[in-house]
Amino acid sequence: MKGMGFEMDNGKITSFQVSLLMYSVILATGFITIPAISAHYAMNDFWLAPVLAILAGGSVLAISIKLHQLYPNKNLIQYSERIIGKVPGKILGIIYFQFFVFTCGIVSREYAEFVTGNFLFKTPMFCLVILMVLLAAFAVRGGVELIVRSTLLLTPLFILPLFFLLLLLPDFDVSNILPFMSHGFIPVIKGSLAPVSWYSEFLIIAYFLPSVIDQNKTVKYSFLSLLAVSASLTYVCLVALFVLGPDTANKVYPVLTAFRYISRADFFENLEALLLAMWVVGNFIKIAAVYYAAVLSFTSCFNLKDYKPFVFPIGILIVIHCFWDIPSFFKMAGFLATVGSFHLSTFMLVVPFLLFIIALCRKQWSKLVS
Amino acid sequence: MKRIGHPHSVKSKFMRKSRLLRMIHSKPEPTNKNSNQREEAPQHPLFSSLEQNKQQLEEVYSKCSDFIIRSFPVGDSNQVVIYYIDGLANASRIEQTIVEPLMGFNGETISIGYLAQHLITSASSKLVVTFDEAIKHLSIGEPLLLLNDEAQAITFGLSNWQTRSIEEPTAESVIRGPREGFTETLRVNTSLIRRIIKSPLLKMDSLCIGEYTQTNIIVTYIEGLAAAELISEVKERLGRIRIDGILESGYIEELIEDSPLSPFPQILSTERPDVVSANLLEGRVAILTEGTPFALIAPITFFSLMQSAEDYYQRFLFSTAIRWLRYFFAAISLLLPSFYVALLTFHQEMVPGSLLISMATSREAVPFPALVEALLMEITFEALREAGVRLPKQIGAAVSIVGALVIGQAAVQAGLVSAPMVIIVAITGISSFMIPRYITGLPIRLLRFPFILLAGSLGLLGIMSGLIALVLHLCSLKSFHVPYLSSVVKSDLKDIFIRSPIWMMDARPDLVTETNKYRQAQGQMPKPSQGSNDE
Repeated sequence: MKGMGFEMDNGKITSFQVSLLMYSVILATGFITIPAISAHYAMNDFWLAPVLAILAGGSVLAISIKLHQLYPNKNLIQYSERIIGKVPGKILGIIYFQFFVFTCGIVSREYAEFVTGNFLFKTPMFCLVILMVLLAAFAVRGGVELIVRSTLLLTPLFILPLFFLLLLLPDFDVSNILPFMSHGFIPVIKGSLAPVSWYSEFLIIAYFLPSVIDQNKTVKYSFLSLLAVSASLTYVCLVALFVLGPDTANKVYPVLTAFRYISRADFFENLEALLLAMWVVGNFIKIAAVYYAAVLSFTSCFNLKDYKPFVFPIGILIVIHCFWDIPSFFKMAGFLATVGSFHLSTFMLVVPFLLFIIALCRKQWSKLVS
Repeated sequence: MKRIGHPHSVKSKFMRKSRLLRMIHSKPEPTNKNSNQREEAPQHPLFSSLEQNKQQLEEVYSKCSDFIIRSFPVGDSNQVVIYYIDGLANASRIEQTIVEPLMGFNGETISIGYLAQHLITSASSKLVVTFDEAIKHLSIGEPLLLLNDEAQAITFGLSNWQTRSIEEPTAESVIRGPREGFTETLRVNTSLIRRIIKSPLLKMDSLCIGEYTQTNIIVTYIEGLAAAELISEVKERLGRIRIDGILESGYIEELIEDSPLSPFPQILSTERPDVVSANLLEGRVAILTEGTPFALIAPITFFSLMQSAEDYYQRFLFSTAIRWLRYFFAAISLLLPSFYVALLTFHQEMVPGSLLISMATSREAVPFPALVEALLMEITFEALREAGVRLPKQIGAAVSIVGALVIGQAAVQAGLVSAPMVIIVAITGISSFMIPRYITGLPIRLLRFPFILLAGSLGLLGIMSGLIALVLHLCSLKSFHVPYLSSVVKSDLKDIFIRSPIWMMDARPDLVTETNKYRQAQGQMPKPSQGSNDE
């Protein structure tokens, strides 16, 4: 293998596959959660939030791709050691490992809360979490190729249900969009904080880039993926706005409510089970990707060549985080609407940005010295 | 019989062939532990004394009542012995072309070469110099002739045994397309392929597997189309087989698969020469086995299991539609019962109101939960189906129809199962018959049951988890290092979701060598202007 870094995973994937993966990673939980949080701040202008957040998503993507170009075939942890030195790099690696395990735990909890709260009321939550983490663990153990290949096959199942929202077309009340920007621009910016934190999850691409074979297409496809993400999210937000109006902020899961409204031709009724299917698939992809990032952070931090033995132990950690970090559904919703945004964007946007600045300075410095 | 405990005993077991030869040669066996290649087995030359040769061969074939010995003098001073296996060799031709001319000869001493060239009228003969060769020829029905004071023997190509004639393959029938199927005779099968692919680049490497059955295996491929690594990999895997006997190509399939524990077949088996030829032309390797009409093809992808030969013989629009129908019903066959169980158990709200009422009415008297009901009916259906297959043809059809009617009708009337469940099982059954290959249907039939259990315990979420697990499994499967779903992953979809017109399928599938990329001239889409008859 080329490059001097440790080769964790010698799977080979394409840019297109990675972008498809990132699409599902961002939107898996985004569809369900973002409209409500954004509507809480931005009132009837919340559909602008996903558009505005492109800026943040674009910068995260640009930073991760640029850093990867500076340090080819290395993942986030491996090059942060090069950028800020060995010991600080290791510390950062451990922090990132912890961060990804925590994020994965939160995502698993979100998944399980949604399922037990709306569909399987009596099923114990740990059953659902363990089943999902186990599936993700098998995917992660299979390596990067298995993750992206299964994503490729599962993504249609994840995207198609969204088109069923169009069955609501006759119920759309387009006037809900007015008054446009009546509260000024500040609420929209506040509302875009949630999508910003979700979009910053594009940083996970930094763990997949070393396995990409067609590097020259990465920029094109990943930005297409970003555009697709914000287009889909804007679509969902608009549907929620047209159907639910200003009430969107009061719903826990606006999309679920919209799906429940569907009733066409005496046959397409109560399609929320479709949303459940989509939710399972999307969360599987998301948990697998974050899980992979966690495992790779851990092994890169300690320069371990084989990551496979660590997959299941880290899975146990994820399950533990899923239950210990969050006491109840309301705490979780509160966390996601307030601290969560800052927590996510600190690690996925601010820290990489600082790393990027330092890397550039180091490069300039070494140029000056020579 | 000796038990096989550890790898060494496999080798020592393999040395049993040498035990047979030890009977011939009383000298100690050179035990070369490292060499486990068949070709390296020591060769035992024939003696120059007729008596010794006779004694050894007859000892080897002692207690074989079908082993015929004919001994008679030739001319003044010569003695000849002819051996053959009754029923495998053509006895009347032996009389006609070997025995009669020799008996009619009354000259002086002759050599074996003279005998073969001037006296015997049989067309093909071959000199052999070792016991191993002699036994090999005898066992395929060729008569062996020994002459006094010669350390050589002659065999004649006079084998002739009963074979089944070429018939239409029953498991893969087509409406349009060739109706020839393979038979149990290897030579007939190779000739069927050679008749389709006449190029000498069609290679047929012969192997012999099975210590007792000595089954002939032919690895066939087209040189320049099949990747060299693939050919050597196939031969390598075949060469690893150490077994008493190969009775069907299924033995080989199980011994050379990539993932033996998977429910999905990773090697295609077919009894159609045109399917084998099509696959050879796409750079795959076929393995023909003596004694079975089923040829093996490797590597395959999941989608080759869902294709029928006729897809390529009928118009592409219709083939495309049929493919979609097939995929849809394969999904139905896998998921319908579990979906029904999930709906009834967890997601009643998804069922439209009026339908829900009629379903609830019919389930009123049913004492079981939907999960038990579904399992009960599915198992019954599988049992009926299996009974129908194994019974003699005349009874089989009656049993399955009467069984299904009686059980279905009576069970519903007695209130043991609900009518919708019977409908579901019937639809599932019909869908599973839509799958063009029997071997593809098996994993789907099997996986239906875990899906029903998952649906009964976790509803739609269980089905989705099962689907994810299935996708993960399929994505990690490989067939001779070719990923099982490679064509989807590489977005090479022109022969998967649609059956492209022949004139559009210019490029070969990706598994062949890079140098030989196109299989036909490009731009062959027929247009009226191409015809010259218009002027």
